[in-house]
Amino acid sequence: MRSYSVVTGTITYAIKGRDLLRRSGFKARIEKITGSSQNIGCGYTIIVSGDIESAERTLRNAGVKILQINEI
Amino acid sequence: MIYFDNAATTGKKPDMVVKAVAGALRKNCVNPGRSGYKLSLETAEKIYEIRQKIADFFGCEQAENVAFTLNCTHALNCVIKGNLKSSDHVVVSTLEHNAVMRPLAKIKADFDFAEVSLFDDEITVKNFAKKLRKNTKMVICTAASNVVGKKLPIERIGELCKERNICFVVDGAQLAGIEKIDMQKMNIDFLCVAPHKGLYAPMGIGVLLSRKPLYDTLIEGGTGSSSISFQQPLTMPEMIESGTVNVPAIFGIGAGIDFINSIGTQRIAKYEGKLCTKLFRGLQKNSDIRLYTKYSPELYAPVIPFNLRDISSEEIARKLNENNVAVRAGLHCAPTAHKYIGTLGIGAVRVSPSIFNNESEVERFLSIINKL
Repeated sequence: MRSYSVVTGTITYAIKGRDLLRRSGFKARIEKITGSSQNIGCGYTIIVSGDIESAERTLRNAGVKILQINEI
Repeated sequence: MIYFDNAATTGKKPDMVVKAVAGALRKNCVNPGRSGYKLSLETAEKIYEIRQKIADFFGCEQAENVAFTLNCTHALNCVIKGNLKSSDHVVVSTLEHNAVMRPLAKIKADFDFAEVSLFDDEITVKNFAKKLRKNTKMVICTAASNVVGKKLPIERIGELCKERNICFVVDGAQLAGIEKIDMQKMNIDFLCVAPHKGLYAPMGIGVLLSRKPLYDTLIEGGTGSSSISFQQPLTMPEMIESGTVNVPAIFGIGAGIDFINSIGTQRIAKYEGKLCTKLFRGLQKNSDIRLYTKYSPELYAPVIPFNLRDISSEEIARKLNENNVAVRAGLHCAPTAHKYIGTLGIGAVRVSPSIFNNESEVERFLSIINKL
């Protein structure tokens, strides 16, 4: 199963997004991002496995701000 | 000491609040939302839970729309200066605190006062309706006056604003926690809260709940996000939470809400109303006492202003202090309210009991007053 890094930037959206994804049946956890690799600086990302299109839809429908999505 | 200055800050905090704050100082003195180690993330999770708890308590749809500020004044400044510009038209009540009036004056807003009737909410609502213009950008009103205690008909004023698509801001400093405030039901767009009052939290923290976007920030700085950019992120809550948040105080808010929920706002309001009714009736019996309201728990928060003969309010407060009674005298940072009740020159003595006071303290207070 493919895994993705969904960069939300803030810890608040990361927690909200992770909880939403878990409630929708995804495996999800939060990690701190590294500034140089994401070209964003400090912030947080949700590591999620599975259907990324469905995961993204779940997050965007709930108003979670997404800065980037990268396959890992 | 008889502490009757709870409108300034609740003098006694519940044990569960003290434990939560002390626990945070012992175990959670880490920076949440900045680091990736276990305790930082655990503390951030706890803060998110408290945001959700506050959102649920005040009927705000999203936890991320609960932002922590330095205090309620800071929250009001964020809303006023983040949404208005010079000469924008604003309607405020005649009972507003300087936390509203000074920011409006600073930005040179074009504001009108809607007169609050101390006895008839219908009149108050009509007065607000009369002051609204086609170009009115915002209505700001206190949920309850910090001087006279009058509760404003915020649900009715919220309806007016919704009909006209006007931003509705409520200063909840004096009523949040004491009575139910539901942002959705009352059509409140921004609610500013002083958690150290009715939520029994420590001082040094405020809450801004929003249901509409803020367009600008009051301060900028580190948010723990998008740090490569010099531009302030414009997502709530971090856009107004630059710098490290007050973790122990936030934990205190969470415990304060648990305390209120364990009793129920209705029971708290009923008990404080009973104490205030006894106080008011006792003061009414003294012909030297000048009262400015017709207190009833339905129309008023637990706040009673009075004066004694022509003695200055500060002098009365000093004499009460000699008798180990704590009250607040003067203008209470709300000259508009004092002007409205005719006490701008002399101020008033304000008595404000809480759930931690009792009837015997009311009786002792009345006995002391009657001897002055």
